[in-house]
Amino acid sequence: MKKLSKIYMSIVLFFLYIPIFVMVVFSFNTTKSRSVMSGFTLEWYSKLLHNELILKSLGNTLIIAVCASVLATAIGTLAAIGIVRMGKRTKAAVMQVTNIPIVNPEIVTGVSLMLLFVFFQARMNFEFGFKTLLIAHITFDVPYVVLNVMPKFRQMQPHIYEAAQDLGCGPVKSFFKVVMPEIMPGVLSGFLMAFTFSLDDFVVSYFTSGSTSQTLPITIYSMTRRKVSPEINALSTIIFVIVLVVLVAKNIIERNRENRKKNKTIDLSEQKTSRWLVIKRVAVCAVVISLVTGMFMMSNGGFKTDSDDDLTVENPAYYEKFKDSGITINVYNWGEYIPTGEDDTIDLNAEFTKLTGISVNYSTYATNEELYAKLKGGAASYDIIIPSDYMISRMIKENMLLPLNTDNIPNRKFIMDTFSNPEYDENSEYSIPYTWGTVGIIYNKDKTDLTEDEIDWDVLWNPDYSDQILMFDNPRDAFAIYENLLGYSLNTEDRKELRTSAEKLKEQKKYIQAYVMDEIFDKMGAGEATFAPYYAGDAVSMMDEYEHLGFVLPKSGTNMFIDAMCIPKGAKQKEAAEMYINFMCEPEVAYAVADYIGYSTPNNGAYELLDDDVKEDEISYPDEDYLQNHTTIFKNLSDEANLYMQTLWTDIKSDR
Amino acid sequence: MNKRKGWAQELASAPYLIWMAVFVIVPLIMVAYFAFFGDGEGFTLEHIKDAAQYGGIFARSIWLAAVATVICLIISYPLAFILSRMETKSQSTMLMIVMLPMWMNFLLRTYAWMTILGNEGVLNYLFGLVGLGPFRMLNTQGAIVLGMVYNYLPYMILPLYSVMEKIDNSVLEAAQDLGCGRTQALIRVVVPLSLPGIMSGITMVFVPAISTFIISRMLGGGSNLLIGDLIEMQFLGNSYNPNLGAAISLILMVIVLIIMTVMRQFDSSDDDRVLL
Repeated sequence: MKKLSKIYMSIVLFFLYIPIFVMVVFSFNTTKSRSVMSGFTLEWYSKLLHNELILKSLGNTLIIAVCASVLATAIGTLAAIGIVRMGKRTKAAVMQVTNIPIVNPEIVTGVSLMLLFVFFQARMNFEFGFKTLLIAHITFDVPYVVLNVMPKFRQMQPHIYEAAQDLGCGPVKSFFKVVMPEIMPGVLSGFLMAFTFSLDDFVVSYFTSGSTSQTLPITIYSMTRRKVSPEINALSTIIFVIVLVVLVAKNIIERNRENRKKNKTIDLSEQKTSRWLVIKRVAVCAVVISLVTGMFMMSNGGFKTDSDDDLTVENPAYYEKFKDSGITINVYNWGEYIPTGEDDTIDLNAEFTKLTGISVNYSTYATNEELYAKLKGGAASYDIIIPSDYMISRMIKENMLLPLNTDNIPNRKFIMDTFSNPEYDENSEYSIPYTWGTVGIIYNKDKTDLTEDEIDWDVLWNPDYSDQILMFDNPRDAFAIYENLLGYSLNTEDRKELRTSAEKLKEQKKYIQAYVMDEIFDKMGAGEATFAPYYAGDAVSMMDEYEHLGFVLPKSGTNMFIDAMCIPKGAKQKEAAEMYINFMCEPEVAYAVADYIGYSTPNNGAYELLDDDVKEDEISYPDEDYLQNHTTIFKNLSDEANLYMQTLWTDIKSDR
Repeated sequence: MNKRKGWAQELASAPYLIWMAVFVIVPLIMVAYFAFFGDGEGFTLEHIKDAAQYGGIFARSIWLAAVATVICLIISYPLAFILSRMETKSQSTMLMIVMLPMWMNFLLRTYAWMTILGNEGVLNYLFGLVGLGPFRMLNTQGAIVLGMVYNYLPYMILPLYSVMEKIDNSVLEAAQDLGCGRTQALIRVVVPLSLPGIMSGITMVFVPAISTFIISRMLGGGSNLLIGDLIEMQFLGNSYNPNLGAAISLILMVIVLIIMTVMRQFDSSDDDRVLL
């Protein structure tokens, strides 16, 4: 029996530890492969320590957790003091309410708070960010404090408070002298519990954080959605090691202390659980504190030194205006859509800050629809967004964009004529093109015998490659693929055509491995799948990185898209945002963008700077004939068609 | 304490009561409002009806969460029992070892499973070495259940352990003295005594499992939508429709409420037992 228990324990422990083991091992891997160890390196650790985004969000997480747990402890302890005095019924009712945030699914808590904040935002001058995050965290923290403090009152001798007063203490003094020490363990464990929940919360923060305050879990989430680097494994390993060390140390200390007061046994089991909780919380605090100090110490002086190759800008004086005003703009861009200083590239946002003194708060989205939802829902405010063509015209129609003041954007002159006054923004009033590109099929050359000529959209319906196909996780791109194949217009609003496409997309579902967006980068690179639709620009960078990948522009036609910079309604720093747009139009900057992300540039100045073989590249710059005859730019559909497509899409995704 | 002071003392809870009213009750009312009122359309059941058309997703979520809960229970029950019968000293060490992985961010842990289960992942690589596979493991319902079990297992172990720990060995011995076999003693003594732990374990696993959207997105490949995904899609995702999202949230709350009520029937112990 004993042996059996041991075997059972070992199996469960194996299950619990295997992911951790895998993460630790691969954090030292020289390549990005996720299955084969190819060598030992500490590269990912040093990269991690230079990752300002991670450090910044770690800082945010800590500040929020500390503030929220302190405030929650204050409110919760006071609450418990009052609640014990209440009548039985009132007390029961209050406890019911206390239980709501605990038992309610997190997502409902998140959504309901988001709705509340949106409501307030529209009526008061109130913005998503630190404040909303703090309120949300306090809200789900407080009940734990109350629940931890309440039992302490029940265990307390009811007469000691009165005894203290009889012995000459005033009510306040006797409270602090007598009651406080009694409830202190409860207060403490409530505080620590609140602190841990705050540190680790993702779901509620996801719905309430807005654009400015990203916490570590949110950053991790966006990391897992893009091309993932082993940095994330390094981060996990560091956290794990610190937790381990702290816990072991704590355990030893506890054991010694236990030995010392062995004969002091008051309700042992009770003591054990509460002690256990305390250990856990203290450990986590210690972890975080040492993690932060460790990171800052190790990264000391290691922060990216200014790159040697300074940018030259057209008119340096233009950028002086906000030099010392200390303002920040919120930029919301596609994932992997700007050089960030990784892999020896230039960090454009940092350059902008250096040049103008304006800080950039940068966050990313994966689809136009996501961007739309975030803006329309009102759960965030941005100064710069970069939607695609059809989304721009939809936003113009729904009055969601501000007209640009072109006097503030002199570098507009670099934009190619073909891109001025486009159909989606007829007078180029609201948008300045950032990049353009086409959609094609990226494929794994090692896993298919099909030649480039044989690959067209229908390959995504090919049963031979069942479970080897990735598909776009957004309705507009997904429908377009089948519309191309059938020769429908990509802008069709015909219900029958949309329905037929939807049928076909539903049929495709059995061959699909996963519906993804930016994850395509990672999954195709790792060889997880054989075919995926993807944007030409990313395909170029992927092919640079992985030899086994190829890219085809389908003969049956495809979508050409233009992503352009706009300023949404509600932007707080319009002029600074225009300065940012102007900066992005600097030939050298636009060149850096095109060079890094691989997308095609609409900027004449940048195009001139490109290498000749890039200019002639069939993928980035297809010939006029293909663009004219085989590509279509999306137009905004009518509200009915949009809604219909969305319903069909949810239907497709939920089918099975 | 006289009456006047008592009144002052009750006042101490005022900030809390106001806070909970504004940030817990009012938001829930807003969810209900969004679910029943469209943009100036007045009262409508349209959104609830729309939500009802996703019955398949509701059924799938309930099913997968239930499977995960049962597996958690099956794994945790013996484990908690073994733990609770260990020497007091080794108990806390063992418990620490069991809980250690849970201190890592759950997104990171779930991500690690992606690398293990992938077509080119660790497991398939190992299978490949012995000439098997590759098997499709990632992006299946099985992977989702695995993710749920892995992430929510401690929520089952802890309540079970804390109840079982209180069962005195002498109770078991008494049962055996009175003629029970080992197994019978387990079934007749330990199970009834641990019932409150089982019930709170079930709710604590089932509720997060039924409402998750991360696990299904990361391990389910976007083709196995759960209720959580559906809600997320309506608010921050690809099909913006807050009214529908609110309606679905409301239904989810009702489901959870029903489960809680059912579970509470079995749970006679007092309400504010420590939750972790």
